[in-house]
Amino acid sequence: MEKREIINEVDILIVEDNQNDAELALRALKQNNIANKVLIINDGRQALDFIFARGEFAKRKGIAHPKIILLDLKLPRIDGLEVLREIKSNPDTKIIPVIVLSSSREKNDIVQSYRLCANSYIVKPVDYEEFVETIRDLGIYWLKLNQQP
Amino acid sequence: MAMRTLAGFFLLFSLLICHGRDILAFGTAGRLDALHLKGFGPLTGDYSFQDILKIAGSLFIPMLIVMSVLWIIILRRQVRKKTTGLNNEISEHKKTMESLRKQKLLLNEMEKVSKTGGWEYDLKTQKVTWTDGLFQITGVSPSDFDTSSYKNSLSFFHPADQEKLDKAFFNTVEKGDPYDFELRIKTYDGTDKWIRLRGLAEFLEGKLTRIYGGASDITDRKEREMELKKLKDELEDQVTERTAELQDKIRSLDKSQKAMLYMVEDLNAITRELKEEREKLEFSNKELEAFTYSVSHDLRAPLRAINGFARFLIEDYSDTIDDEGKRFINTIRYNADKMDQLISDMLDLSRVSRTNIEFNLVELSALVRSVFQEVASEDEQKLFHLTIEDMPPVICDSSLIKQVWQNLIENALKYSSKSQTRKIITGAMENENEIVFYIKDHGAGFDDQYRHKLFGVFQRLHRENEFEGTGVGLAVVKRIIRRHGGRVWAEGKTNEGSTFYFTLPRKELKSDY
Repeated sequence: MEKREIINEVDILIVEDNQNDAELALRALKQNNIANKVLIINDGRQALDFIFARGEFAKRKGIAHPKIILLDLKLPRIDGLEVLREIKSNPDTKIIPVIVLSSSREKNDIVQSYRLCANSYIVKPVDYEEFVETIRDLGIYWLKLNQQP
Repeated sequence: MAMRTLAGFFLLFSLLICHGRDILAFGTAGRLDALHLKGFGPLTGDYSFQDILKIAGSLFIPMLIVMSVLWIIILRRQVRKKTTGLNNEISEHKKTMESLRKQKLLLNEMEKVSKTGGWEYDLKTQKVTWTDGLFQITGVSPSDFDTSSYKNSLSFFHPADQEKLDKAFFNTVEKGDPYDFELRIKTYDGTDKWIRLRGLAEFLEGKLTRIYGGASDITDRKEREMELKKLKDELEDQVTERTAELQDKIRSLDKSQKAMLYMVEDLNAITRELKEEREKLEFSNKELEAFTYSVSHDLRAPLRAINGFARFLIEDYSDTIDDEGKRFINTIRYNADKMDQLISDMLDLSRVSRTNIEFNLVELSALVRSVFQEVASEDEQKLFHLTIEDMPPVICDSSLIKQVWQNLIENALKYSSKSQTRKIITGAMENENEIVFYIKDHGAGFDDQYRHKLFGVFQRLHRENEFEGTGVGLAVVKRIIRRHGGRVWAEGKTNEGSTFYFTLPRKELKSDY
């Protein structure tokens, strides 16, 4: 029970291999006063290990339940779509909202993400002001407006 | 009596034989005396002439009578003998005649049945004789027609055969060579017939006496022969024809077989080429996809970092950076955005070629209205007057055609932004094969001499500081319309607006699209 509390301390899990993007995201969150507990993981394999308490996270017991997962598609080792598939095919994790945050506007990426039950698909704007706005809207919606079980 | 007569006659006859010489010497006195001596003893007196006559008479008259009787007897016997012979001959002759008559009847009958006849030419009389059979064959009656003339007889034959026959006949006359021909004749009633005619020479003691021969009506056989020949000819013709046809077929089959083989070879070659091409295409498609993936995912991140961190610089170090420094930083950020736009446009352009077209019936009037509402800002929607004239529904890819209208409306809005007249008119004109759509604005227009550059990639007819843009929008329009089998063109004048046209071919909606 104690450990579960610790796991639940992660509100936002950001899966992002690009350090700059991760930093931009953190700053945008901060600027929007969404200062929840944020964890940044740099590759798909590590993300799955974290969620399902495997590998380096094996000591921890139980499945992680962040409030939202911001998932990039292009990741080393295991890519974002594979991570998405695994999260959404496990009954314990499939209720976690996964927001795909990608640079790609390609129809193929969008369709595939939704087929794998992504909860949102958001294109990361190049322009920082737009990026901040996007993060703000996203935070307001998923962390404030949206009700979770 | 008879015996006596015979004895008397015999005696007289012996006397004659024995003394014949003496009797012959009658007249000579000496000899007469001798004779008298022998017969009557020696002469005793003189004999007068009368005595002599008496003696002679008494001697010769009986002799004469006897001889006459004898002669009559002999003659009677001879006549009797001859009469018997004659009677025999007559009866023989009668028999012969009867047999001849019978044979003639037989011959006539045979001739009639076998349709044959005979003829002869007597060289002495130079006359021709026919048997009944010939009359029957030629159809003339002996009373109506004089066959005896050689020329008359010849007249029945076909002119061409007459010459041949004439030659053969005279050859027989001259050399005795026989002949045997099949010839055409025209009978008395004009019927054409074929006859076989033979001619032979008869020699008597090495001398030609006559020419004779037979003729038979071979019309039936000839007709059958000709019929058979005709049949045979027809059959041969048919066989030849069929053979030719077959050979033609064989040849054409041979040709088609060869052609097929070549085609198969060609097909194999083409298939190989196609396979190679497909592999290449698949490879380049994969490359293109990988490239696109990389462009869309990786190329933007650095730009985002440039833009974002430049922004951080202004935010965090605004005190130490002067205005000029801030302008530089903003320029950096602006160009990062610009680069992002270029990347987006390039991806749009390549997407047109990459995506599969899905044909659907699309209501264009509604589409244009919704696109305008999406594309135009609230201010623009207030400022601009959009006219949508009647447009027929058309079979096309709705998302691609939507992209076309987006680009065209965006252009119309952009290039009219500095104009007084803010009117956009859209509409369509139909003809037999296609529908022409147009969008007309009263904006900046363009210099008509450069209109060929309008639809080129990254081609612009306006400066960046006049109107922003990457020069990809119309290239995208052109690609989409091309993929639909349509055309694009534009009319315009500088500062007088422009009209853009595109066509979509009329299509039947098919399930296999």
